[in-house]
Amino acid sequence: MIRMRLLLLCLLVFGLLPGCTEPSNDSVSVELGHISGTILTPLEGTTLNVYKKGMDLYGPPFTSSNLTGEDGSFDLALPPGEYIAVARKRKNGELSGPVLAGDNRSDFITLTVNGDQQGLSIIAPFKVGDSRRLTAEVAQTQTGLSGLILDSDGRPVEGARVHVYDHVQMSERPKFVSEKTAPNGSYLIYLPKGGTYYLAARDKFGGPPKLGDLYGRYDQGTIEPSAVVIEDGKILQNIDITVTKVW
Amino acid sequence: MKRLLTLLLLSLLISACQNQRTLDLDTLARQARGGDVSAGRELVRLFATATPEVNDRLYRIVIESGDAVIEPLLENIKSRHPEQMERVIAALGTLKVVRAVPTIAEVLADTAYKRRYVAAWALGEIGAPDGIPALIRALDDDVMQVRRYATRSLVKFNQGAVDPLIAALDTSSERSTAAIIRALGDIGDKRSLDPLLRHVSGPVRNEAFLALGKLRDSRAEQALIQGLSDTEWQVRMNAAMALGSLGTSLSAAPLRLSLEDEVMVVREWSARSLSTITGHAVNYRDASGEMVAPYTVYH
Repeated sequence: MIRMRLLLLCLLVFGLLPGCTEPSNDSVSVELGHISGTILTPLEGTTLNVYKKGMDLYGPPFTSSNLTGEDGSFDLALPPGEYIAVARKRKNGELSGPVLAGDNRSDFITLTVNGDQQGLSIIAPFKVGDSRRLTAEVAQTQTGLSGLILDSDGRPVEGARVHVYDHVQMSERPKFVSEKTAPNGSYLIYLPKGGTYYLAARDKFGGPPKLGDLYGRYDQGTIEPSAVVIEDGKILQNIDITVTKVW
Repeated sequence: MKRLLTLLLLSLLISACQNQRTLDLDTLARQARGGDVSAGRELVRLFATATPEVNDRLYRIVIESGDAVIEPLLENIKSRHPEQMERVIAALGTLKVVRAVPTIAEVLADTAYKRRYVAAWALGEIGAPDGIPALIRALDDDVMQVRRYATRSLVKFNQGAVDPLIAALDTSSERSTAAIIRALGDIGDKRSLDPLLRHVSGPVRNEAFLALGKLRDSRAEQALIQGLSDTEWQVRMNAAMALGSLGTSLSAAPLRLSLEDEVMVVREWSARSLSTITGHAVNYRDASGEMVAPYTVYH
């Protein structure tokens, strides 16, 4: 009798536990449309990034497809609406960050999704030349800056990028962007020539910093950022930037 | 033994259900938005234990919850969890809770708390004048990040901070004098002119020149012209930069002389300011010796 009670109790406990799990938020009531197709060049390892109209087309997308397989195919479900899509594949294998010379990217494609199935064939040729963002590939200039990206506890931040601007408002796309910081928070960015520059560091790429992002400007609390003067042929060292959460 | 087993199983069931309830953020958010203070308290409590990803979501929920979170936030300003403390103070700043000012000011002065920058930030967001003295004291903090945020917050007070900042110049250290001058420059109030002019020959003259440029008062012109012949190139650069915004025809001849400065960036800024003053394109000699036009820094 006691064993029976224990068995019943066990059944009750393990039967109820799944009922206590967090409710899923994945329910979708609208009928999704599908876009599918093939990315012709390169075939494999490309994502189709989809933006809503009005979004920064160089920032994080509204949604992305999975990496294309060997045949270059993708399939993506989208709510009805107007979108802009672009295929991108970076040589460094990352899914975000600047598209540099040698990476692949398509033209921007305007899409209207109506809840039906659409087929697309997209060409994503190599990007040739990149005068806006120069990092490791201009090491021969021996002009640039280096330092650490730190958090509010003074610990190194891995995976952040330094954005370099040549105008004080820092409101447009950066002129140059560093590679991601190393685990010790260090960065080194080469520039084609010396001059007066303005700096920021952040963990995301594209668009204005948003709530929750890590962001820090190189300044002393003033409205305008501090000017960083870099001489030709010199690496300006110890330009450390602290990033904090955007609240 | 059997009773013990039974109790264990029951505890497992109860604790499992309780744990899941704490993670039901949607329900908590709904309750808090409906004014349920206990839900607000639970949300604030979770700041101490949630993962960074959940905490980011929690923060959004808290700042959208209104009155239900105010008391719980006030109760946790001095939490023993640094992460919770940071988010609590940030939320109080975002929600502009004036009652939080005295305690946040205490946190700002607590050098044992590494993330006290957030206290400086929050006092600027709240904007209550009671926060100004603590912010001025923070201009002498050993941590650059704290001084930065304190400066920025004082600038947000705008004209309300001018008199306290000028008064603080009488007793300030060199480090905090520099920060006060930066704040006065950004606020740009004419009351700052004389106090700034008193620093054009001292150790913080570099900052004074930049600040005077932002005041755009031509009474500073003569002092800036003298700055063009300073022994330090950064000072000469800042003087040339500042003359662009307030210089008159008086500055044209000295700036032309500075086009021959030994440091390229001084030549570059002299050309830029000379163009602004005269309305004509002015070239300068770059590092390779070629005469070029300065690029536009202000778009």
